[in-house]
Amino acid sequence: MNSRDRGELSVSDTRQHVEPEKEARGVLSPELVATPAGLAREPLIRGYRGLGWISDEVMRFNERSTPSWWRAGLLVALFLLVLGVVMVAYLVTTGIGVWGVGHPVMWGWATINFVWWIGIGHAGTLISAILFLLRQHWRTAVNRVAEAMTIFAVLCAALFPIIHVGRVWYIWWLLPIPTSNAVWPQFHSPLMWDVFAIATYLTVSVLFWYLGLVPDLALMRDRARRPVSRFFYGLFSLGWTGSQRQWHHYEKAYLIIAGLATALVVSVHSIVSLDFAATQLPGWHSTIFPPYFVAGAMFSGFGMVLTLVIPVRSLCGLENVITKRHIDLICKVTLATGSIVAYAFVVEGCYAWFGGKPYERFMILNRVTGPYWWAFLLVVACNFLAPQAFWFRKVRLNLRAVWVLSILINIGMWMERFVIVVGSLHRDFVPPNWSYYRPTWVDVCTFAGSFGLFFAFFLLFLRYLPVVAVSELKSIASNCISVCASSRQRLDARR
Amino acid sequence: MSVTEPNYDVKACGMALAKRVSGILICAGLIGAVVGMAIDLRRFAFAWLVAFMFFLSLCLGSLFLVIVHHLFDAAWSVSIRRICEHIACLVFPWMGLAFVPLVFLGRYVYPWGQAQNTGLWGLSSAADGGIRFWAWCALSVLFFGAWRWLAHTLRRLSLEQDETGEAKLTCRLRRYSVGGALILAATITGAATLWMKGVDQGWVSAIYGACFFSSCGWFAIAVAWLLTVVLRRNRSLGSLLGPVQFQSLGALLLAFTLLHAYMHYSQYFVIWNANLPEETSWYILREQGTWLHTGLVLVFGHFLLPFLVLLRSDWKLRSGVALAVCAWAWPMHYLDLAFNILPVASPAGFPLGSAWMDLSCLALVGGCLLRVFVRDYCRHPAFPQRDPRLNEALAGWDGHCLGLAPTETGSVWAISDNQSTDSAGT
Repeated sequence: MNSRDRGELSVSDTRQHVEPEKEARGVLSPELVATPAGLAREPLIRGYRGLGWISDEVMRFNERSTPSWWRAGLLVALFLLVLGVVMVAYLVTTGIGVWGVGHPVMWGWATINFVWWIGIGHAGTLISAILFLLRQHWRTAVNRVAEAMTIFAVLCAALFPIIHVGRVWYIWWLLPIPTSNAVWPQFHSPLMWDVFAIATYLTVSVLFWYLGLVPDLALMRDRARRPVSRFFYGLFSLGWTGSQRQWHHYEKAYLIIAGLATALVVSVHSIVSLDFAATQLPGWHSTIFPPYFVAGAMFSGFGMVLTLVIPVRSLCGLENVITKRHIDLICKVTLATGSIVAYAFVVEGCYAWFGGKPYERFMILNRVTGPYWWAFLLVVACNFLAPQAFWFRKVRLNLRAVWVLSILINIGMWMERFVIVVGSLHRDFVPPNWSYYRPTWVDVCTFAGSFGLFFAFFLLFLRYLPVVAVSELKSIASNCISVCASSRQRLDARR
Repeated sequence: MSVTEPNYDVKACGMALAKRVSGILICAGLIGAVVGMAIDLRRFAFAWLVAFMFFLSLCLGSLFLVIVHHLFDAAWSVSIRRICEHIACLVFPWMGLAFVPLVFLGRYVYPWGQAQNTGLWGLSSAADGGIRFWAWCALSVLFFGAWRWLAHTLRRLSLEQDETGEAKLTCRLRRYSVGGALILAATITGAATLWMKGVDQGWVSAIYGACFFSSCGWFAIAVAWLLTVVLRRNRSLGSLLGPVQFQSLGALLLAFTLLHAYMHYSQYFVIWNANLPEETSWYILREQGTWLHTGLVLVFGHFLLPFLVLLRSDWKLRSGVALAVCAWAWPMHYLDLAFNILPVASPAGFPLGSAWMDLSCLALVGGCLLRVFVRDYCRHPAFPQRDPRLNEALAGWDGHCLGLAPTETGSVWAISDNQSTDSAGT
């Protein structure tokens, strides 16, 4: 009679290396055993050779001579940036008539770009803060890149509302400065909420990013060979010595800012969604917009993380710390958020169609069969069909396929904002006002300029700051050894 | 005492008290329900709908937890999965049976089934501002069919793994969960729209399904946590339940507390800001009489209090706090559903005078479900005995603790988030 027949607690059946005596006794004796093929978890760091090795591995790119691809990339980015600056100058000196906006589509590419960039700025804080609170250790390999991406994307996003006001020299009126010209900001306007939401988000994101950087800047200071580098890294590392007291304060502060940032991740894009949902326009006024926009922001943000991380890991030689496992996990999160977006998109359409409101019904019909039917199809293809490939493990581990899919997601999410903004505005309540919106070359060049801004900052970040959070990676490696040992002891004790 | 083997004796599996309680609940509920039907059929219909949705949300929330467990390949939740599987399987046939009275009582509940068609429930058409009766019935059957297939398939394969220990069953469960997640999202939205939102004719809110989903998740997590604490105290699952399980359940409940509040706040804010009469009417009705106070109780009791209690990580490990929070979740969840459904029947305020009818319906449905749960719990092993992730759950890992694993070269190490690849020794 075996243990199961006697009704004793035994989980030894899951073992492959079972000691026969214990099996016969049927005692609780879980062993550390190999998980069956196909269920084993892939490693998070490959080729681990010690803590010093992690520093060498990550810093190698910063410490070697400047590669030619980096110079070429920076040149292109700077060219686009200059183009963007020229376009902004042209816009400011001429007026927003140089854009394609006009009645009834008063919000065109500028608003779409704003929402798209701010959405991309969400993944960084999500990876850093929320995954930190959820104890998802895999975040450490990609959180630095994502945080940097967040800050640069938010800067790009902030550019568009500023230039969209037309007279940019009055932009400071949006700030709540009492008694300035006896003009008080309109606090009922969601656009005002944007100002506060984005300013807060940017501030907290920069703080969070910089705080995480301090130990690594100290490491770069200690490894720097040139006095100039040592001086600047030393200046920005704020006298970090790595003492126990400093680590204690650091970890406390990091946790608090992570908590704050988590709330901001959700609130910022909810507020952006209210730019639309708070109105009464069919296609914009929908109660599902806040979570829909938040999920969409995460979706596009993770799409952009994939777009950036896949080339970065191979160009910077980080394959051992940013493994395929990380890509696999990011793909899964992208799929999850993409599914939420698809759900919201379908539900919004169903409610509009079956809700009994003629204007809503017309709006949904117009989206599918109206002049912008092609945009709707692109959204469906890029946002909803393309990510379905992530259900398959083979696709998730094929980096080229993932990269192409991530680009499609970026395009799809931009088109989705196009469908929401232009698709809802171009045919309003009065048919004589209907028109077909077309962007001008200034619209296109300004958007390209924002890419220049983003990639110029990003390439500088890659070159002069550690791409991966070295200190966090080291703490994980150390914890790994101690947790592993204590788990073994606990299991042995139970046995 | 064994928890691994089927044991039909409720005393042996520590469920004798639960069985007795279920008997009392069924008797008391049955008497109350019969009296209620005789006194006021319309009021009874609403009470039955609230009770039905209350327990349906528990079943669907548990089904969601099972699906999420498989999708995320979680280790810590192996210990509580069997409990969730049993609760999820209550959805059919038992909740299906509880739905049958609604087919006949619907005429009192759904305005589209009674307004212009001279009260002839079953003859309503799209012209009445709702859907056709046959479509309503067909969709309802479809929902129950989907839930039955999903819940029972997931449990069947899980029990099969107890016997065979085959790892490929884990992969199959994951594949079913992929489709299951999509089906569950669609059917929960449909059920909330048809059966709950349907009581308010002409009112539309696209987020309504998501709100109901967050309620399902919130309540199911609270119940799972409650059962975990109780069963641990009974020592049934003691060796499988540790800090990781309690911490994770507490964190999940906190997350769903926030999600639920966020969903409802989004709905309220967008409607309030746009100020369209056909939308604000829903909230105006719920600001009349004691419904205003009910709404405030929900703001503080459903969100603020659990939020503050669950913020502290050390409190999540205290079984007293866990019991209090989970017990508190029951009335709050009931009030939440009542706030959605009952104002149509009692516009003046919460019908305290006839609350016994609500309690009777709750007792009857809850008692029946409890009895079935006890039977299932004692009939099957209390946890998935041969799940490949059971070792991680037993060792107290949360799936993110790190382990060491050999690389191909053997001379260097790789850092993994479990020890499952540790077969060659390190």
